[in-house]
Amino acid sequence: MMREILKKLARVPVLLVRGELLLVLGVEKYIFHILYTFLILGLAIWVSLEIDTTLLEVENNNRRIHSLQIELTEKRYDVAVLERRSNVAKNLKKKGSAVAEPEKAAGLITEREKR
Amino acid sequence: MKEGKQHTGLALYVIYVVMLIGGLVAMGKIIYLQTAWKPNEKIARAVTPQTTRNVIDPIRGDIYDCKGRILAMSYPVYVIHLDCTVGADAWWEPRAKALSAELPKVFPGRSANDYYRILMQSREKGRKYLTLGKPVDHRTLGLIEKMPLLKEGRNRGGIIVEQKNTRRYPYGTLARRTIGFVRTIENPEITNNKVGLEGHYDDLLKGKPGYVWLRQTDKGQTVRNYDSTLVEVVNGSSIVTTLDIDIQELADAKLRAYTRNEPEIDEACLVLMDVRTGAIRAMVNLNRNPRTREMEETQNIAIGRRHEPGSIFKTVTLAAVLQDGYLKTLDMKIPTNHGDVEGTKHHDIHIKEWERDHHTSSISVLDGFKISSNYVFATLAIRGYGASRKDQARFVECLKRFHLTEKFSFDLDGLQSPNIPSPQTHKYFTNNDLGAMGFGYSTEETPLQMLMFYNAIAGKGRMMKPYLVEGSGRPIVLDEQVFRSEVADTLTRALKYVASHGTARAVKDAAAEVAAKTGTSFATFQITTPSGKKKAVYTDSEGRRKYQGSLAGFFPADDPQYSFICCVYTNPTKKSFQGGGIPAKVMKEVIDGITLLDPYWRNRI
Repeated sequence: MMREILKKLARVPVLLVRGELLLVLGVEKYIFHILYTFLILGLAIWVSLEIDTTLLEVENNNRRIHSLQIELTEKRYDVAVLERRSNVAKNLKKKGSAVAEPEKAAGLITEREKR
Repeated sequence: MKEGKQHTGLALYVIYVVMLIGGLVAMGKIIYLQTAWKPNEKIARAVTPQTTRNVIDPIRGDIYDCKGRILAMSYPVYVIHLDCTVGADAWWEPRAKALSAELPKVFPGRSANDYYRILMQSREKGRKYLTLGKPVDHRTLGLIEKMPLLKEGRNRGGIIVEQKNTRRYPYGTLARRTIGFVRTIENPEITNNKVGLEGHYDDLLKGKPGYVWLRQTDKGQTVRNYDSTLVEVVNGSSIVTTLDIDIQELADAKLRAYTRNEPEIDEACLVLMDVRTGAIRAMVNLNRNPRTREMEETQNIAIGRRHEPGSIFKTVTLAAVLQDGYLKTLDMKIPTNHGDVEGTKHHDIHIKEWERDHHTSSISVLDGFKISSNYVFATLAIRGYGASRKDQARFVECLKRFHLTEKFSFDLDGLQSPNIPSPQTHKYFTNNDLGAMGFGYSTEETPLQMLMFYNAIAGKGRMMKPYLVEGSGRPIVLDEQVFRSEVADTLTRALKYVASHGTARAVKDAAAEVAAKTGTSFATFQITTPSGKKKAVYTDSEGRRKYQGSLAGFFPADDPQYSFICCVYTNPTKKSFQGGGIPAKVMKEVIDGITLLDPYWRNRI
């Protein structure tokens, strides 16, 4: 058994030099499998490149979202400053409005109790 | 023909052998590269796609008032740096000149020529990190990124933008000491981060940083590497405070208005609390800046300044003798004794005035409370608790029941512990001390602790723990019945009388009926006697005094909504600040303002 294996292995360099190794191994029967493997490898490379493109788009979108969030933060701050009671009064005065701080408590209109 | 075929076969065979040898060499090379070869590190770094760890800073949580308005928020700013070594001189210099002309528009304070000189000097020195101006906001960054040279981007133009988070307070200095401070790029001078709510809740607010790994794509762009490990960033939690920023602004404005023109006043505070819950609606702390002479929020006096409360403590003495049954009615009369408190060194000069003005030798407890008589309250304390050391200890025990002997856990660091002498801890405790305690001396309390006591009167004996931050398990009842509701009613009657006829008359005309007590105490000066002993005295060598004027109470008296304390502290002065006059004027205006803000006071039509 061992001797047969060694005899076959000894023929490999000769077959290799004569260009008959693949024919002796009968690889031609698997030509479609080999082509399929190459196709799969090609597809894998293409998908990997597409993933990179998508990831890049995700990164760009994340940057845009981050930028919008910062704008929102700035606007929230501006609104909060404007909301301050004394600022509201100041701005109303600046605009010439007659609206000012109340001088008496607000009235609450309630339904008249039924007798 | 056969010969021709033989030639073709030979040629193919040669090609085959050449390719076979080439293949074997290639395989051998691959095996060598994979096993034995070690690359040059510099070259390997340059050609290997970069994977870098990107640390993501958490966004610090916001702080809101009780109506959801933002009191403190995280705010991004950008620091702009310039790499002055990029590009050829002929390309760079005209753009740098054009940039210099634009820079004064966003960074005023320097001229275009100044900027051009700085840029050229930096280029000569080969500076790769020249910081331009102060940190800017996002909008300004947008303008900067459109400027000549900088619009070329990082690689060509040399612009380096660094984002930093800072802290902004839309309501400016309002409640700044209560809200606290955070050290950021904009205020590096802040060394103590453990201030206010920002400090106390720092662990909750700051969040936890995370990181992701970034890799370069084949085209050299940076994307996130989803195959690597990551730690999600945890942004800080926000906290909702009990402060009502409208009431805070009102209280701040009124206290400032009355203290601004009184240069003797060095510090002042005002705390306003919701009676039912103990939620603090406003906490104003003003300290005079010795340089600018303006009042600023730099120290929390309401929790950090422990002092002899003075006459506002008489309410505590009154509560003790009522609760322990030593006083049945406020109308009980006690002999005036020309102001000499029996068995002590205490003497009240105002009692002689009372005797003269009213042609009498007795005074009711209610009148004693109205005129804030030290004699009456020292006498009450001594009559009730002065018979023995055991009885004296019972007075201290009563203060303990009122939660006036220990501090409580609070939402801000720095709440001072009360200082209450006791016959058990003070070997030489006498009725002199007991009498002094009766009218608010020899004890030390913070304004917040005294407010908690007055809030319990407003709450008919239910003592609420003051708090500043909403959360589960709040409000907290410290004591369901710290004294009987009848005692609370009697105290309310006495406080109403003081506000309508007594020393707190300045709040009489407020828009809501007030129950309140004024207080004045004198801070001590440390002197050294000729014998070398150190001694505390109330008047300095020039006859000046340090006043502490207070007003504590609640309103409306018959259906209390808010309790309050307002204190002012003077520098040594010869001017009198007796009777809590300024606090009463401040509170009158604050109460008027609150009745316009709070829906409780809406008129039903």
